[in-house]
Order: sequence, then C-alpha cells, then structure tokens
Amino acid sequence: MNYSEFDAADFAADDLFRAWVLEETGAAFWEGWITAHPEKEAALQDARALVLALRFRTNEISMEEMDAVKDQIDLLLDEPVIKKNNGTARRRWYYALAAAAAVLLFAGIWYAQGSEPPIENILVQTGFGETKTLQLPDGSIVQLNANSSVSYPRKWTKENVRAVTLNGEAYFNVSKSPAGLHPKFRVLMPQVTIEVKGTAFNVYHRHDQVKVLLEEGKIVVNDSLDMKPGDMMSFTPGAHHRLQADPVQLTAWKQHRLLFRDTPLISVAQQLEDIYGYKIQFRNKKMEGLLFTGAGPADDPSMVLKAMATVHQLKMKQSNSVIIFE
Amino acid sequence: MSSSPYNPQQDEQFLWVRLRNGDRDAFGEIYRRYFPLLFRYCIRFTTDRALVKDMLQDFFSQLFVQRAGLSLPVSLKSYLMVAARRKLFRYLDKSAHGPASLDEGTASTFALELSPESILINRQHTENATRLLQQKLNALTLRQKEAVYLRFYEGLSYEEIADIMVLKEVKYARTLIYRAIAELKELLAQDESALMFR
Repeated sequence: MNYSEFDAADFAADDLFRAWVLEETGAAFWEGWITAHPEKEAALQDARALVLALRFRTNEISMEEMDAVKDQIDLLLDEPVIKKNNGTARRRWYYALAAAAAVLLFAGIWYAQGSEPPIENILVQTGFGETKTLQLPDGSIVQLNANSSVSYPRKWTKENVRAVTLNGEAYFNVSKSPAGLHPKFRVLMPQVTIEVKGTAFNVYHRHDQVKVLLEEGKIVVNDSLDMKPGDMMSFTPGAHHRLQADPVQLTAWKQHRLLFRDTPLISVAQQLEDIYGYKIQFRNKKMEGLLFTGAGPADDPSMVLKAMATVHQLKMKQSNSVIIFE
Repeated sequence: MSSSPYNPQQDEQFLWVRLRNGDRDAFGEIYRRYFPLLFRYCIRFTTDRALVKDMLQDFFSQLFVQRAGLSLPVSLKSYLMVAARRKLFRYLDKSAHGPASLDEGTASTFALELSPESILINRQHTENATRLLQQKLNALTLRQKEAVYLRFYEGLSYEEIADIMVLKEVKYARTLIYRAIAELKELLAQDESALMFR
C-alpha cells in the first residue's frame, strides 16, 4: 500500500485508516507514519474529519428476512426439473425454470402446467370448481379452494422450516410443534411470507394480491407484522393494509358456499372467473360498479349468476364458459 | 448462525467455480455473504423493501439457474453489485411507469443519511454542524451520493465504482468523489481548526 500517494479521500476510504480512527487499532503504525510524513498531516486531518462525520444510517435486512427469501429460492430450485440429468434437455430446463421464476413473481400460475411427477416436491392442485382437503407430512390440514395449488417438500426434517408454497386460496389448520419436525411453519408467496405459530387461517393469493384472515392462534407476516385472531390484512406489492371486509365472505368457500355482500359486480365476476374458469364480460362500465348481495351453492354457480342478472335486471348470455351481461 | 463449513478466507474464485459446477453449498455461501450487502445498497434507491427482496430473490435464483454461462469475474463483489443494480433499475422502471426508460431511468433517489454516530470534532456546535452537513449531503447529486456511499461506506476502489456505476472511465469516479468532497470540505474545514492529533 503506497500511502505516500494517498490524498484525504483515499485515506478516508482505507480500511486500516478507518480502523485507526474508529476503533483506535494500529495507532503505533499511524503515529509513526505521520512523524515520517509531515507533509501529509493536513490530508490526514481532512480524512479523519471525513471518517468521523460520514457515517451513514443503513437499512439492514434481518436474518429472518434473509432466510425467508432463501427458503423461497431453494423451493424454486428444488423443483423436480432441476434433477434431470442429461445434456441438452437439461439446458432447456434451465431456461424453462428461469422463465418460470419470472412468471412466479408476477402471476404465479406456472404450476398449472406441471407435467412431470415431482421427485423432491409434492404438488397438489385443484381445477376449476373443485376443492380438496389434504394432510401435510406434519399432520397440518390444508383445504384448497378451486383453481389453486400448494407445493411442499416430500420429506420434512427437524432442520428445515416447514414450508408450503401457495397459489390461489387455501385454509390452513397447522399442527403446533410436531415431534421430530421444525417448530416453524411458513406459507411462501412471492410478495408475502406468513410465519405460523399453531393456528388456523385463510390465505388468498391471486392477481398479485394476498389476503390473509386469521381465525385462531398467531401468525407473523413478512417477519414484522403480527396478526391476532379476527384480523384480516391485504398485501399488494409494496403495501399492506387492514381490511374491514367481511370474514364470513372470505371463508364461505370452505362451506361450499358462494357468498357476496355489497360486492361490486366486477369483483363478483373476478371471483367466478378465478374459481370456475368463466370469462365474464359486461356490456358497459356502469354495470361493473353495481353492488350485489347474494348467496348460493358453490357447486352450482349458475344460481348466483342468475341472481346477479335478476337483481339488476340485466340480460345474461352464456356460450360455453363465456358469459356476457347486457 | 449459518453452520457453513467455509472459513471467511475461502478463495472467492474457487467459490465461483464451484457455483458454476452446480454446488448448492457454494451458492448458499455466496448468498450468505452478499445478500446483506446487496440489500443495503439497493434499498438506498427505493423505500420499497418488498420490491428489493423480490428483485434479489429473482436475482439469486437466476444466478444459480444460469450459472453455466457465468464468466469468472475479477471481483465477485463488484460483479454482483453491477448485476443487481442493473436488475433493480429494471424493476424500478417496471413498477414506476410501464415501459422501461433508458438505462439510468427511474432511480430518483439515493438515501444518504448521517447516522447518529457521526461526530463532528468540534463538539460545541455538533448538532448544528451535523444538520449543516446533512444539508450538504442532500444537495449532492444522486450519482455523487452513490459514489460517496460506495467509496466511504463499502470501501470500494475507484475501478470498482466506475464498473458498478457504468462510468466510461475510472477517472470519472474520482471526479464524482472529489466534487462531493469539495462540497463538504468547507464545512469540515471549520471543524478541523479544533482538531487535535494525539
């Protein structure tokens, strides 16, 4: 290190010099050096003032946040595609995986095309109009709403946090600290990570939006936000807020009911599209804002559709899965 | 708390080679070493923690997925910072206003706030002087602030700074810092008069 060519800015950025100023280490070296280089005294004084003055506030990431992101990366990389072991096919898979990673961040629908039987991860998905109840390796129960999927490692261990990736909507009833497994349980989504402490809750994750309703116990969202029973929160990229919405409405699907209270038609339509795969259109914008209150069985959405039309005196045309209100 | 089998002196080039061979432990080690640094750097361009975390998740996943095509960088640190910064700007563009603008696009902020530990040596008017210094800092251009941060906080060389900030020549990195220092110097000089060397 040729200190004799250093100026104040160089010294101020130098690790050894900074350590001397901030931690008073290496004092003997620097005091000796000043004596030998009196012409550098002014530069050293400037540098010392700079080091002492320029200390910046930093916004650090917590260990937990870092682990949560790593869990998501590992889950993604552990998808079975990466276990393939032949030259050219392998390369193609990487690109597919890279593309999938991008898609996962924004929409989260790539599981729909899962064609290979998973090796490391188990994927459970539901089609339109279908719900499923499954038991995880730790005994936790997951009720999966229509057009949704969960994926989780086949083997759960004591070392790894129990983690499930969710797209769509599900109700979780989580086993508390099962013997031989990690005490923590996480639900992973691109924007939001939920950490659970023995609990029952509903998670909705569609269209880049996440809604969480907690019924029992305690959960922590994104390592920072505590939720108590009865709380309902909504998360969109970069923001979250408490919802005043009706919890009964959010979990009606568990009782195989469709339930809407003062819900704009456009939102009703969105939900029916998500759950049944319909394509619903309104002839004009005004219709989209009309409010709808009503309920019907989930296995027969036509009742709700007819009610929508009747209440607002709209005409409904249906051909296959396309429905038009006019 | 990582129970990694590596010691801190482990050669980074070797780590990189192992990453390219698909070694997940090496990948985990690179993640552990560099995630905090990349996070605290990127979070200066935006207040959106979720966006930065998403971006870095995507960034590290891609690093592993595309490992076969990686070249061997001279400095792993600046290589990762260059790439993460580029990706961050794309993310910021996307979230701000649809179609991407040209390279330096949407970074409209670079947070450079003095910590409470900052001391001006003349303690009689520390509070006032600190406020003045913060004002001076705020008045620097975004690029000056970024260069100052990289040099004085992350301890990077001018070569590395030029790399990261996409400057055509290393001397531009020097210029950025010198101009910034000149702005601050007047203030520090007043302070210096009370400075004592032991």
